[in-house]
Amino acid sequence: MNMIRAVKIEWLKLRSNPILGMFLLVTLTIFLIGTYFFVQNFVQSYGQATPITKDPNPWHFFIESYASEIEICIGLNILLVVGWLHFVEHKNRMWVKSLLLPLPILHIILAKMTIIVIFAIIVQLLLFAFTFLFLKPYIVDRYAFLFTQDHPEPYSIYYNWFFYYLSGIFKLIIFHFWLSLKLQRSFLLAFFIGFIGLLLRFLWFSPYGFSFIIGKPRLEDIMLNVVYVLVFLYFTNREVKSYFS
Amino acid sequence: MVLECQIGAVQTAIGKQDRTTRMVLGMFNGIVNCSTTEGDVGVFSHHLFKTKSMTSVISISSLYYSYTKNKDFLSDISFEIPEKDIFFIIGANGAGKSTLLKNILGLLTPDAGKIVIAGVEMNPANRLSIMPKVGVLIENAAFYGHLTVKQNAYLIAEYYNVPKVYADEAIKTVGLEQEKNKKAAQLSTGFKQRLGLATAILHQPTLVILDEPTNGLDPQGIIEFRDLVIQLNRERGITFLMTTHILNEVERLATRVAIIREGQILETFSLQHLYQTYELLELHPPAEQNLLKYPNALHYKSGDAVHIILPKTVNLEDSNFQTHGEPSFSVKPINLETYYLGKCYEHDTRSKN
Repeated sequence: MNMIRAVKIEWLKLRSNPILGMFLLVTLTIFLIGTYFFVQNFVQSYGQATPITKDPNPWHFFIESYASEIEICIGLNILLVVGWLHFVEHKNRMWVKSLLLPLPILHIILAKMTIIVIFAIIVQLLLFAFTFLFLKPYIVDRYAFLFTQDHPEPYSIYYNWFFYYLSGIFKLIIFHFWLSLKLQRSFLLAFFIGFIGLLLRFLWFSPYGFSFIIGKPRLEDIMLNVVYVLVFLYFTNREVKSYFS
Repeated sequence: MVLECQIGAVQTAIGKQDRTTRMVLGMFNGIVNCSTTEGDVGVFSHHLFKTKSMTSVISISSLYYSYTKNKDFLSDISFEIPEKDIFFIIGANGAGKSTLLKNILGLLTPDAGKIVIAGVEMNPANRLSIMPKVGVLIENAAFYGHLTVKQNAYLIAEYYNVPKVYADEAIKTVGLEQEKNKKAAQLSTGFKQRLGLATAILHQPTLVILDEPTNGLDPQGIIEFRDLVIQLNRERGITFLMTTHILNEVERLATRVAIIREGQILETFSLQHLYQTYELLELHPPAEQNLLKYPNALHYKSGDAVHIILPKTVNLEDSNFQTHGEPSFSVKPINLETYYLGKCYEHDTRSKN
């Protein structure tokens, strides 16, 4: 019950804030910019000698290259939300206040994580909607010669994409949240570190590593996520509690 | 006097013992304190603490806390706050006021001793069940600037799991009804403190803890805030525990006061009793040597004058303070500042010796 209440409270804080609309606008802008560059490069890349995937099915190439084009932008968007959720508490001295309220700090942190994960899922679902409603029809129409009957669309690729994204996103969220708390006022420094981390996202063991790879999420990724989440939840909880001492 | 010496000896011993010994000695100390009665307030004892049968909202016994291993920051803190009191802890910066409040609120864990709030012992396991009974406003009020007054109050109501009508009532009580749809960030400092107070009382706590609540308020704001505290105390029976540096404020609000210095409670007393019991003798040169007549009296030096705090029972008319035929003394009503300075001076002199 406490957890449900904590999530409701987080939602109440967010609901009345114009920043929510701003984040969705940023998301949409990212889709448009990422898609524009993707479309510009699609055929040229596919024709090159070293395509991202050796799979002859152009659908794999289409989704994989589109995902890798856009994932850094999605990562940055999530960093913004994480940083903002910390910043709004820090700016208003509400971390201190929350220590004096009858809800465990861990629940408050988990509620924030839940909100961010929901946001991350919404972003991904919006991306799917955008892909299906606009990008895919456009690409299939323009490059009909690639998407022939010989290569049917493998739908499993979409939910693999979704779960792979989810399997990487948890550690990014909890780690960046802890980093934002640790650096307190240096909201921009935390964001900059996150940005560098996202550039190096191919390092799968790094907290910011969440590259999209065709196939099912790997067990080691899921295990690593669990370890990251547990360790940094502990550190985050400790960090908030130290706000008063 | 003998009793005082025994307590002093126990306190000295406690400072050198481990945690278990401290607790045992602390219990003994508590027993000794309980046996102290109003009648012990003698000419030179200056102990105004009055033990009587009453329901305590806070009861602290033999509390010790240290930030580092070898040095106690808070040492042998014991006092009780009865229901419906407006209780102030006064002391200099670094005296231990905030650390004591953090211990009371369970944000720091004491090395030894016991804190009971509304009948429940404060410890990590009980903390969350105690918090609904307590409202807190630490220095400047904390709230979300992007939310309106009403939204902020509703949010805190959700934390406490109380109906929104409680929040509406609190807004009304603190006089923020006209401002309820304003963004909190747009409020003046005085209104912000009112909002802080509204969020501290909306869940109808039995105890409200305010840490230097008038910091940053203009004189009008201070008066309004004071009136609010008195109103809440009288109408709702809320017990207040407050800290401040502003002794004038304490005199206008407090029913009881604790003086803290170097992590020790020097004394806990009721202001009414202070005024009824003591007066201030001010000796100017060359009469200051008359201090020797009251070797154990509380006193302090200010400029070239010596201020001596004496019970009203002392007949000053019989005293000859004249030197070379010049009368050089005056008797004034006591105020909190003089008593505070006297206690601090006494403590510092003892510490040096």
